[in-house]
Amino acid sequence: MFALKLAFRPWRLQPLSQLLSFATLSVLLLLAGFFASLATALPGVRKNLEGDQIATVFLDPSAEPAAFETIRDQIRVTVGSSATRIEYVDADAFLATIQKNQPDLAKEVAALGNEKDWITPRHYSLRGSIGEKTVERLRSIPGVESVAYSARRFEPIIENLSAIEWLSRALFAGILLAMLAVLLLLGRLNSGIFAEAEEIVAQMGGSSWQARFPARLNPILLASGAGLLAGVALMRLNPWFMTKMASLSPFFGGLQNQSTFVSGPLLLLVGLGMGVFAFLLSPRTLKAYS
Amino acid sequence: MIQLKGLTKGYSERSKVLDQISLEMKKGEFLYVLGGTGAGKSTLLRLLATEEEEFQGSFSLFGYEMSRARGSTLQAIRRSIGYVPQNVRLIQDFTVFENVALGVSLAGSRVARAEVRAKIYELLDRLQLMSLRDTAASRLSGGEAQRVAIARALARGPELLIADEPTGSQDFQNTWNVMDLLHRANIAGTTLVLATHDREIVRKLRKRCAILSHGKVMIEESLCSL
Repeated sequence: MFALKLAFRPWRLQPLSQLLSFATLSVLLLLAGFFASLATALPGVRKNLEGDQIATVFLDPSAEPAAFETIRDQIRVTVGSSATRIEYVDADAFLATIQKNQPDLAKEVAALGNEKDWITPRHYSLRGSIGEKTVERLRSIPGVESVAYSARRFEPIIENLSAIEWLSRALFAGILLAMLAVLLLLGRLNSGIFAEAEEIVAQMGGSSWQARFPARLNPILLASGAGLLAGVALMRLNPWFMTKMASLSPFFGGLQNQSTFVSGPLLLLVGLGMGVFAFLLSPRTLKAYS
Repeated sequence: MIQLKGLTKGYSERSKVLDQISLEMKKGEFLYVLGGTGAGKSTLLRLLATEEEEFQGSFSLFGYEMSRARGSTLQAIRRSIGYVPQNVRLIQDFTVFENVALGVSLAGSRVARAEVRAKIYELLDRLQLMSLRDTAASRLSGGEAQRVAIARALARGPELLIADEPTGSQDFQNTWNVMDLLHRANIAGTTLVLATHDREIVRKLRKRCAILSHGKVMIEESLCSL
């Protein structure tokens, strides 16, 4: 009880500086939370893009339409669940697609009669996480003439996302280090406030642990309080932040699905952890009675 | 209980604050430490209260050689001491009651909380501090703060009570209130070392005394004859 009251001594003697430190730590933790959310969400976005490939399986022109069903089943078996879309496209399907947006072109193609099959060869369009080995297997299916494959079509974007992910991690770590520095410096600044009480406690038979405990408890209280505030703020602000990020590019679409119920309490734990870390690293203020 | 043999404390060969002090006290004794300003009284009392670490000679307290006492031994010794320093030393933002209660809790008392509270209230009442029990120490006058320090030392039920000018800032009535409490504690078995300038106290409450001058014990009497 006395230790707790002593730990709050800086709040009674220097409320403004404590309040400022509390606000600084809260903002730092909130920023750390944003960056941590980003770093956690980006791998999912990256994985989605990595898995978003397109393969066009061109059918042998000599193949009979009766064989198309068999070829499609073989394609399905080959790609398994990795393809999210398998679509048959022939000249008629192609015409239907372009008719709405490009009616003139559609007319020209339709005017070709049977020759339109030369312009739009019959093919299956596949979309999903299709690897190069799968493409090789597709090529070996009887009735398949060739396969066009969009290998690594998002590679530059994926690399950029990876860079942002690492930057977020670095900023997260940097903010935590800055926070630790703030806590340790604050501990040093406050050591004068605790020095007299430490001497009194030690003189009356308190252990050095009892004497120093309030001064070391202070950063824990401060950092966990800031963690609580930042956690609540993150739970409220993170969806807005992620929506804004997602609006930057369709590639960031997956960011909006981040759970904030976990990140809020986690931030409280990070604050508590930083306080404990500062507690362990805080300088020994007691000299005469050690 | 206290044994000093050839105890010397100084910052150089020329400036010795205490010079070859030899003194012995048994449990339950009462000793006045007298002397003029700069005679070394406060240094001697600080040393007895284990606040001074550097010294030459032999100094044992409760049977422990103090030059070797460290850690838990030192803590146990300090828990058995009630010390009223000249500069009082209260925790300024604690109330009067909290300052006294902190002293009791650090003494490692196993007495029930209600009993401790009753004891503290009784002491505060006797020292005319009851109405100030919820007042922050920073708001007390010098005399009031001094009485709080005395209450804190007494409430701990110490085996050894060391008081440096405990009546220095008190009016007549409070001086004798304080002396009455200290005397009662001594009768109950507490060993008492008291530094004072007040000859009236020494004359009225005659006890053993040691008179210091320039860091040396000049006169030691079993019943002070001032």
